Amino acid sequence: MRVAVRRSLREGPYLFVVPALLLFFSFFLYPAIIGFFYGLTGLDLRKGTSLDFIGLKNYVEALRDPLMQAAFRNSLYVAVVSSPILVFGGLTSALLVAKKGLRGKAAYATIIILPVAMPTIATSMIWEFIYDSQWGAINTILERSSLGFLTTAWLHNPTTALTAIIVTYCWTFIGFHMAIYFSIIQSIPKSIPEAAAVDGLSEFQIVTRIIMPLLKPGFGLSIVNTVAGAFTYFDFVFLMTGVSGGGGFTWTDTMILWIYRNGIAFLKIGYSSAGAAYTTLVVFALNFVILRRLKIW
Amino acid sequence: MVDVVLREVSKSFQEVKAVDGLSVKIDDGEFFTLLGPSGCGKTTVLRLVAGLETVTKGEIYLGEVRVNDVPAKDRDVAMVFQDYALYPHMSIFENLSLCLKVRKVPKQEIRQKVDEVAELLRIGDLLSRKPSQLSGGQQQRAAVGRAIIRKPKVFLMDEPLSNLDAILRVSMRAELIALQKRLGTTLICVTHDQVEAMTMSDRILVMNRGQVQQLGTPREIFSHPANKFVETFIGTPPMNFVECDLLEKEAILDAGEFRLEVPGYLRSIMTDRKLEKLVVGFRPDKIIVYTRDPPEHAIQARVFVREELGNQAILSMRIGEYIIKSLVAEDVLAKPDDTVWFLPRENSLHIFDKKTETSIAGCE
Repeated sequence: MRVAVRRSLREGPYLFVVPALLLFFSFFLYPAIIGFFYGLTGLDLRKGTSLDFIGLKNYVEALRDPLMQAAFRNSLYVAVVSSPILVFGGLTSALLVAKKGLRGKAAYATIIILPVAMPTIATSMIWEFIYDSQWGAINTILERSSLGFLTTAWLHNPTTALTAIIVTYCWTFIGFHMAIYFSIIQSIPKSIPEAAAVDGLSEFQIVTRIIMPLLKPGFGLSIVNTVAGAFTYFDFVFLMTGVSGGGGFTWTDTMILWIYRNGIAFLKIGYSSAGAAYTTLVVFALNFVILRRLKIW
Repeated sequence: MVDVVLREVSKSFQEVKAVDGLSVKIDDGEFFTLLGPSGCGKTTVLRLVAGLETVTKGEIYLGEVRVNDVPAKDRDVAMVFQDYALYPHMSIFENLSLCLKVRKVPKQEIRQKVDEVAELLRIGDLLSRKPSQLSGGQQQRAAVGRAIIRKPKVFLMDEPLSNLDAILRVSMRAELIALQKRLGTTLICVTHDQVEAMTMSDRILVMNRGQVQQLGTPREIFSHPANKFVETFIGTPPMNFVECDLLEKEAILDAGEFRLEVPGYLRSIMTDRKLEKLVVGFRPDKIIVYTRDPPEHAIQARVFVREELGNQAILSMRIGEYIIKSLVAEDVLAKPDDTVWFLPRENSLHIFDKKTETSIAGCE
């Protein structure tokens, strides 16, 4: 009897994580590993389904591919630009919304959170209208305020296209990051910032010395999300410039678009898998370094 | 170290009046307690003094300074919160020293002060730990330490002992008293526990529904409660109340089966007032219970419940529609359904006007 109880106590906890582990293994770990192996084969669905082993050829070729280099640069650019905006924007929004007795904060929170709930196809259409070169809102405003020399075809200009997409991306997801920080701020007992106020801390000091350190887990989640998103977020890039292929794929394609094009459009599964494996490694490494730096791990 | 003056202070939250026209002067160096049931506004008073809430009406002075418009961080008061509110991401050392750090106190001096306080509160070996690694009692000490380290003008404590277990609470109570006497700083403490209030305070302010019920020393409040509310609130188990008519000729308090002769010293006071409806109160420990051979005027009752306390027991006795509680010695062996007789001790009756519930006469 006692032995049985002990055994079930020892094994019981593992039983509870089985469903989650099963999902994780079958939909995340297994595809990642199998993808790595596909990358070692010349699998090309145009030619058939043969899995002929070709060693690291795909991996070497992908590194030399100027389209992949461009996609990698673009992804890095998205990460570097969008992460600070989303993290800082989400954090300040959350602090504002959590502030006691601030007027209009409910309206503000609603406006910020709304785009998260909007279908991405609708969001990208709205922004395509805004960016339109002839009758888009931005160009119209620029012309009316005699800044006509600044007008451009925002989504079809190599210097502005990717940034324009980043703006849409950040506009959409600031609400999500606000929600992350807001939920943590709400979970901090009210007495803690109050104790700090009585202790003589200014409002700014309360934020920097008390609230921000307590938001650390939120920073972790938020940053991992933005960095991974820069490499793997598909919708806006594909919908706003990706369908047409941008300017020969190099202006706006991020890693996920490169993988998609090679794998799904061109059916070069082996080759695109090599790129996917690189993406996984890079995202993992970047997040590892960042989290280590922030001492979240 | 200053006195604290509240002048006609009111605080409303939307429709609710949490504090209603409170005026009190708390003396320099006093251990002052706000006592009342939950929701009576006592914590709000504390928060008003701390600057965490702003008054709706009235004025608050710390010493000579009117602090109505002074933000919490500049009031130089210290507060111990009910949940201690230690900064969870900081070590105890950092918790204690943060208030000094933001005041730009030199590192050397901070170290020295933390060591002093840590020694005083016996938390020296905990300084490198995080609050979550401390027991409730240790957290409480740390919170007190954070309050005393910068020698504030006033200490505020919100139910400082309520999260501790019974044994620890009693010992911390004694330590708090000693600490306050030693530091000599004005201390305002909020509690709903009358024993805590009685044992620790120089003076007690009893509050109910945002209003002052009585202000006085523990002895005054116990012996001369101003009204029925204060009476119910002080003493465990609470005082017994019986509604009576005064039969003037015989000077007997009459409530059906409950007939009690009025002691001589009360007769004139009561007849002077010409009141007919009265409430008589007497404390459970001021009742003599007879299991047999009762004296002539003793009141007959039936034991309803017996609660054993060890060296004493609480007898609940039913008489008519009343339940009278009595604290008896262990050798009074009445069990439920036994017939007993009781008499409130002479000189222990408290008489209240039924309509206003204010005290007319009474004395211990």
